[in-house]
Amino acid sequence: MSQRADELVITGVGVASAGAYGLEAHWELLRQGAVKANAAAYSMGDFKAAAHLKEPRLLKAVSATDAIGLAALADLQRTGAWSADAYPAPRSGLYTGSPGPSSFDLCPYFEAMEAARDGDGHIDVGAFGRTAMSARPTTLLASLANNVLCYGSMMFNAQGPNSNYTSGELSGHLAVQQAAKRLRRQQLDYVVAGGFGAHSEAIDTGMYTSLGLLLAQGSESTHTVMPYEAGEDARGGMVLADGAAFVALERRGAATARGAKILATYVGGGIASDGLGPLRSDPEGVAYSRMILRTLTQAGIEPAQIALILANASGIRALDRCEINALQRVFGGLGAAFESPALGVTTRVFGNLMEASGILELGLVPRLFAHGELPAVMTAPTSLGFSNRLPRRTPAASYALVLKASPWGEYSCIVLRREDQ
Amino acid sequence: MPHDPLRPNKRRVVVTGIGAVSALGSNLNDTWNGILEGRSPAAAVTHFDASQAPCKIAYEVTDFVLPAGLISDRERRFLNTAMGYGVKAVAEAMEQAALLPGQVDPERLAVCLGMGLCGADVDWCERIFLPKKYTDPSLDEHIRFNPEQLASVVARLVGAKGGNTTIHTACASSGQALGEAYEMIAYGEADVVVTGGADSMINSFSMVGFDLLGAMSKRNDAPQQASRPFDAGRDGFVMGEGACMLVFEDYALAQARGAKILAEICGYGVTESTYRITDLHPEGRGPVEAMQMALDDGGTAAAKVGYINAHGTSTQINDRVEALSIAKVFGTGPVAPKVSSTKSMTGHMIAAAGAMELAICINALRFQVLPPSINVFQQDPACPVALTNAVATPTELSFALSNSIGFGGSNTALVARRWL
Repeated sequence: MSQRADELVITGVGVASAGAYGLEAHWELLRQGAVKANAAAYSMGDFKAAAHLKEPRLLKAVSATDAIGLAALADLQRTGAWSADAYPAPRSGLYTGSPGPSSFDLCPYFEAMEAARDGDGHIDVGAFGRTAMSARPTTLLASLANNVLCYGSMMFNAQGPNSNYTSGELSGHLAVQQAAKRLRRQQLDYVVAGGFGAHSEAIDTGMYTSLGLLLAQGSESTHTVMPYEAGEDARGGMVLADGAAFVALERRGAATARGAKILATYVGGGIASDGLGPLRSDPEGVAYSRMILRTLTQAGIEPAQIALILANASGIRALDRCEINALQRVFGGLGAAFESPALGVTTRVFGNLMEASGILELGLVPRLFAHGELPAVMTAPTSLGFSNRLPRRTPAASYALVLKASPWGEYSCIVLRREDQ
Repeated sequence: MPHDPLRPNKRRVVVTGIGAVSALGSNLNDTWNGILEGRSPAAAVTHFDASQAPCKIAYEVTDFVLPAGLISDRERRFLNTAMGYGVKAVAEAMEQAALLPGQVDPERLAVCLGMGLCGADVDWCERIFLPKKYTDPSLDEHIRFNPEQLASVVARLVGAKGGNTTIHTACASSGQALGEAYEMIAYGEADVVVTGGADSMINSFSMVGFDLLGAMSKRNDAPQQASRPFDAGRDGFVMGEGACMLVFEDYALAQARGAKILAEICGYGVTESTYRITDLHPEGRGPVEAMQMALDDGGTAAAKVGYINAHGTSTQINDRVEALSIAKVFGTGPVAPKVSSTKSMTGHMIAAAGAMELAICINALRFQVLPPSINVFQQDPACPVALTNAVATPTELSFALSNSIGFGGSNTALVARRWL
């Protein structure tokens, strides 16, 4: 397969989630089939970010959620052969996907709120304006959604173009796609992109439960999230998971010149929405499928060249149905001459990593191509018409499609090409 | 001529609609007239009881009514106050753009917004958070504190299927959203993008948060004169709120459908200061490069820029470093552009500031007038820029630039060109 010096390649992956730190540890969990049965949410509440950072003092100014993001960036820095002198600071960039502020960021005000209660026990907002002045001066700063962008840029000495997306579950994917565009336009030479979030806390789990999006927890159940499953035993809903994942992107020629290990080629990406408003998605997956086809067309590849699909597969019934319908529209009519691509899911093991979801998968693509088949815990029901094995290695089937979808009817995809060994 | 003659690999991007909600008025016209009058509507805070807080003043949107029929009751539950402003501003911008169904492929119509933190309020904390009612069914209302809700509603409102993007980089949020919207069209990814920002931090948590940082003015006895960018006596910013939305469009499409073009966007720059979370690098590292990048992007000579709408928050550090940065890029001689910060009239609209201030640049170009610099009683000699006059002044303008500088180190600059 021809390789061009100006094509974009992934040269680093940094990832942290509940129970695993680093890509290798995540791959091992998948290989072992380490399903967390009946977990309400995959929390990183006991995660010690400071152990992974060269400058743990950064953590004093940020939230626990930010700390997870910074720890994943530190992993990427460590494993991705990053060096401070590889690229000029103005030619380096960071693109992040983050959640909005957590209500738990308000905890430093609790004491002040209690102190502001009036004789009837209600919080006197006027008095709170006074009592709050005893709170930590930097309380507001910890709630900023762009803290990881700020401190991560310092870590990577990245002074070039940047952004931070608060687009829910698509945030990390948007960050990677925008970063790739900057590289393509020669506006950057090196860019780190991905997302992070921590939604396992009580308010978000309560909120998503009220919205009907979370997997209902039954005490007798031994099942975890069940994407695409049908039948009486199947239950719909997602499992929220804390985590962070970032990738490093650069141009092949420069990466090769500096001796960086190339993990995969970034081919393209696309986004779309159903335009139906909050919490509404098209069950037929029309916009979703058209986005995939448009992205493949722009990249100059055919659906039959996709060997691996890493699906969103959140477990939310309506969204899974939308996704399968979209995939059938794209891949359903390829005919018997083509081997079906493998359809893999990571949500049984890692839950829905929200802002980081779809980024860990980018890092897993090279592992899966090398492995040749999906670990059992990643398989989708074969009745869907997809395979559990990757098609035999041919130049014509060397691409992976990584999908992301949100219950808001918003979609994203990223296409990678396997790296010739 | 669909492509920029100076940048043949890029399409030309024009503005065909603008809508605004600010303390000066709930539409662009009222806001602009307030600017021309040099009016400061700052006053004592009424949105909550700020009587015992250090800063008790703000630029509040008053008498705001979301027109009936724009959104459903169901959608309203997903939106907070600022998002309501955003919906109104989108409706105004789309009405001006007069984009009819069928004129743009929905898959080529996208939404790209800069949004504020949208955090919870004291009332919610008292009802739900402090008593730990984490299984309360009303917790679904918490979704309105998630910033991406507005983009979803806007996409439904305008029929966009080209993807929704929400950006938060503090005070640079909507400047960054506009920049990315401009690039989506310039590089052929979309034909029309509804872009802008919305924010309201006039609530107790946000105000005390900025108070604790020492960033807000304490001139409670003179609210209308408290925001005084580049004045020697400035002592902090005054909070504003509102929204500003713009319709960015591929020039070829706008021309083909006979749209009225308001201005052309011809340059975007974005950088990271990598210095401190709240402070600017003393030599302007970041803003300098962002402005230069925006000029280079459109091939615009610095000498052609006649007006700069500065970020100009009225804090000591921002105004001094930004002024030095402007001087570095544009010089200080007689040909240096005129500078003003309209935050003295709108307040600091935080995530919506960049969009509002580019809209003001566009109106300055359209109507050939320099917005006034109010509340400058004695210009700080450490701020070596040529401020606009105290009253709106007719002039000849071809290019204008808008700066945004955010906590967290993100800096943006956008260049607009007069449309003749």
